[in-house]
Amino acid sequence: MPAVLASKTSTPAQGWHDVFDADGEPRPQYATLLNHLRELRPKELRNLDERMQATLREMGVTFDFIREMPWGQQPWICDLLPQIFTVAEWETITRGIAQRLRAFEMFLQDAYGSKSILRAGVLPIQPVMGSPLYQLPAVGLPCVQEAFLHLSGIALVRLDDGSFAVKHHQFGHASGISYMMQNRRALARVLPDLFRDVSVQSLVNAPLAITAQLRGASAASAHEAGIVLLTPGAGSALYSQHSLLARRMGVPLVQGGDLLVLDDRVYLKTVKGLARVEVIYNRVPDDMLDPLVFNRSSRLGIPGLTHCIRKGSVKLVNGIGSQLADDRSLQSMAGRIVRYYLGEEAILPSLETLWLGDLDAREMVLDDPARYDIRRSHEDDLGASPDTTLSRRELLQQVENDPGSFVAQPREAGARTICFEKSRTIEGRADYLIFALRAGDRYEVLPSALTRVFVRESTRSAKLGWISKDTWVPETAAPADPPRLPARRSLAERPPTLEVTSRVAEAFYWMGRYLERAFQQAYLIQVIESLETEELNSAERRHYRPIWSQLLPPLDKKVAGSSRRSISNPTDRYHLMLFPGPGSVAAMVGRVIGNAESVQECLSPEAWATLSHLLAGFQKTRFRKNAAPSDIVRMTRRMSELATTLIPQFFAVSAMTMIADDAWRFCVIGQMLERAIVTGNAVLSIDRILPARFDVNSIEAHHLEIELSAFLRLLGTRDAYRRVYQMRAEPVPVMELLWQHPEVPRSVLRCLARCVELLSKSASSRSLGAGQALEALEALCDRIRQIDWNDYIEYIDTDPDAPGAGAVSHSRRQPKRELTVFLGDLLSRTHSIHGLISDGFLNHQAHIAQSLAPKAKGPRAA
Amino acid sequence: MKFEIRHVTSYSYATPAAEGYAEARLTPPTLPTQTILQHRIDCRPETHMSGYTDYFGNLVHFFSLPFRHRKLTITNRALVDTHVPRQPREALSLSVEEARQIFSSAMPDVFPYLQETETVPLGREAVSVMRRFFRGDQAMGVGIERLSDWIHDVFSYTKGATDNTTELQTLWKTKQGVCQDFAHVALSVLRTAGLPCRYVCGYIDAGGSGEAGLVGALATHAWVDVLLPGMVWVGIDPTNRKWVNDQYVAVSYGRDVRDATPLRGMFKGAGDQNMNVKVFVKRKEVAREGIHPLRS
Repeated sequence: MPAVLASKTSTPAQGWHDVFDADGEPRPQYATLLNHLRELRPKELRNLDERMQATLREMGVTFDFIREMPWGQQPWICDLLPQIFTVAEWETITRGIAQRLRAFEMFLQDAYGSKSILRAGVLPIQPVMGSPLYQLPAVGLPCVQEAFLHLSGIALVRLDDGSFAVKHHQFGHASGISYMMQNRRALARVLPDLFRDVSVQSLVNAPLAITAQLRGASAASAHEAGIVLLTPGAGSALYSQHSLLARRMGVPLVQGGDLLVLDDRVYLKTVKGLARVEVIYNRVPDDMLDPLVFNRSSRLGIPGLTHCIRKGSVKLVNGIGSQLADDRSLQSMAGRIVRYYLGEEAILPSLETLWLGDLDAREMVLDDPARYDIRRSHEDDLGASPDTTLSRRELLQQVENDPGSFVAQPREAGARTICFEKSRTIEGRADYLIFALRAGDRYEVLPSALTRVFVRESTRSAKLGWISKDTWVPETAAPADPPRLPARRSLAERPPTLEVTSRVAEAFYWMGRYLERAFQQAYLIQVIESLETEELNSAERRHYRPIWSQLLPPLDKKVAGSSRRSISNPTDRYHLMLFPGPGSVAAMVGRVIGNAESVQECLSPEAWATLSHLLAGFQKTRFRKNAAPSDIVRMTRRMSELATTLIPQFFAVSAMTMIADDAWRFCVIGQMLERAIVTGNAVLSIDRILPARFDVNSIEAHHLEIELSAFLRLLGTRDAYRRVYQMRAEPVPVMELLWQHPEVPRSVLRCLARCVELLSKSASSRSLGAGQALEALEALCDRIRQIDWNDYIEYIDTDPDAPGAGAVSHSRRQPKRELTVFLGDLLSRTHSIHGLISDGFLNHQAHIAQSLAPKAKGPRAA
Repeated sequence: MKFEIRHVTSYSYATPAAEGYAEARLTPPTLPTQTILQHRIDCRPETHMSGYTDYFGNLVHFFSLPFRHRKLTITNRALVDTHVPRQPREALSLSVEEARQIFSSAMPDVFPYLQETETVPLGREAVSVMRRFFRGDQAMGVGIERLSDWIHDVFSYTKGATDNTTELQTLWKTKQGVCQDFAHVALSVLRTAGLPCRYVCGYIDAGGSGEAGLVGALATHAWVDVLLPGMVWVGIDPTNRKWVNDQYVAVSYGRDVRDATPLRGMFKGAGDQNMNVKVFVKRKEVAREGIHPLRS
């Protein structure tokens, strides 16, 4: 046995050790496993450990409670050595959990109903009705299958004799299920050998079992059940687990803003229209669920949700109010609760829990606070920052101010166990988060746990405070049929499509727009920077300069001072690149990242990597007020190069790696619309230099050619122009190229036609608004196709030798000022596409107007 | 007395709201002291409303406007016949101690009405006032009336002195406020005394021809109900220093203004919300030519 594994066995056993018995010998269930690891050399162990962490990173498992770190950067840590329960232990655990769940289900029914346990004086009233987790509005609300608890968690620890006790409940709000599943997947991938000789109960079916339980809650047929997982959003530490769980369960991950209430029903806003929601698997705290009923300031909830639950049109799992069962101050009364409702003794006792609202308990704890873990009695175990974020003194101060909100449990609780770190082992104390599903009138305990080992000395768990372990429960009999994913669907069926919520599509749309805008601006800066090095002569400068600033992409809103945005000197360009305010490339990149973070689970890892790269570049090079002139130019160039390289790379990588669903499509739609607007705006800016009458032989024509050529270069289309027209730059072909050409990437028509193409794939025949947007877009395309620029610019040829010399080639039909008006009008019609897309696909204004129309004289109050 | 009531609440926003949701607690309940002859709620833009009864017994109407709108107007109209309440003399003559004793056996039912809330905290000031008016041997009725008198005398009715964000703590210092604040002070003292009580929102008599109305008639009014043994509520209005009589129309109840607020709205995407409330309470003289029917 390598020293690393043997060393810990020499210390005399203090309390229970999960891995070794009192004589320092491995417990039987660990023997095979330790034998296996024993054969490995330290270097191999280290490699395995690194692979484990890399695998978890790859799977996207993160734990982001430390908000200062960039999103998705806090890795989840899983140990190489799993926690193993014996069959007998597991039998006790499952019986004990089922018993507790039964009793607490009855307790919840009672607490929100007749309150018999309070009337009988078995429990004091204060910790029940006075709990912040007791929700008055839950009184009388209907529950799914008349039960509050459907998917619950519980944290167990071992006492010194190895028996189990309950540390706290996550009955209402179970966190960690998907971490548990990811640990199993990661371990099986890194150490498949471990699983060869042991038969471990599988977790493969767990997510689908959850979905099945939720489906049971819906009256509709299975595939139309309208199940969603409601998350607080990317701001939650547990967001990665919500998104993984939703994916494994095959249900949309939604935030409060994705849902709306119409006619007492809940709908999901998708690009294809409103989709009815019937079951919500909720991961938002009860009091944040509905700002009309609970916390007014909540932005996480859905106003009106409680009313829909009351009307029975939507079901919430777990029921509103069930988080009361998680109040830690009730833990010390759990034995009484079990006895009162079931007439039985609790199979699993509670770990000693002192409610600090009690004077004696408080004195005892404050006499020796180092012996205890002090926690708020109503906070989520995984989601909340652990009390390490508060200094001990601050915590004790808070206890003094509001003792009734705190409980204390002995600090040295839980069995000792070992974890690998690199090639050595470290020791800590473990607790086990175990999850159970309600199935009919029984509870099914998922055969695993999220084991957490609280270690003091670990280097990498410093921020988390603990390391997790996969957890094994042996098969009791010969394994039945190996668990399988549902059988393959019949081939006649269409492949499943993912419904993309409007919020996700909108985030992608804005990503597309801001990326394109940032690209255009960076490109312009880059071209000007290189023009500057080309030592333009003064005549050329005269032609380039005036239009530079006007070519800047227009901003969404008038920002103070933005009308004076200028690009003509190095400092201006430095500002336009890096200044941390609206209108700079850096700010646009910031917007992109903000949007991307909110939908990270929908981006491919490769696309995300490109964006991270872009963000890292802008984080490394920040705006400095007194930067030296040489630095200004150098930094502007470096950043414009970075942006003009990575942004196109992002679009290419995402096209190659992402599912071409509504999300990706809206990113491209945003890009195309933005480009159309930038082009239209640019053309309007040269209107000034376009003559009403263009004499092809005049000296002005020559000057105009230089100006137009400069203009095309700034827009990155000079090469395209030359290929298409193979002639000098002249007004009509330039206008044609930029507005009407069907194939030139810059052309407004090409961009808008691409929008039509992509939007028609996302449009639903049900949606009136989508149809309106498409119609308007197609009408605009048709209008653009019909433009004859000769109507606005008169060509004349004064060359006496030319055929038809002296004659006006076209009779001038429109006065010059009409061109300005016309271009302005076209641009504003292009701008208006945004509102139409927004209403037709992202806000559903039109859809709702339609659904309301037939009953303008609908039912009324009283 | 017969009252014709019109209560108009309008919201307008600088930038249109994308979605709007609201709960209205605007339906006066039928009580021994009031008969509802007519009542209706109108909403512009028009939308579907559906009702339910909340924990405090209020008939609540929920409605949603999940589409763009610039303005929202809710008009509440009622025709109510009020009757002089029968004062529960026996219960009012019980001592504070006796009342507490009786409530302790019904604690699960009265518990919410005894707790401090975010808007009505209990505190040092409430304790000292409580000691003055609610000694154990004090008769309930006398204590309640003296508390009401004291609030009326010590606090001055000053419009605009407070808003919905003013904390009770500030009120104890400035001693200026409106009916809602007076009610909150009373609740804080009564709860400190261990007497269950609730906030009441409603309308009051604006006066007949040539007769002054009560203070607070131009908006919705607020007062306090105290629970008496025998589970009867009795109303007292510290703003007007009087027991609630047939000049009052009760509309909604709760632990504090937040529970009972007549209209609670949530408007997404709306910029610079502006809420405007107008209340018209007209005393109907005995109508010779019959009751003027409301538009229906």
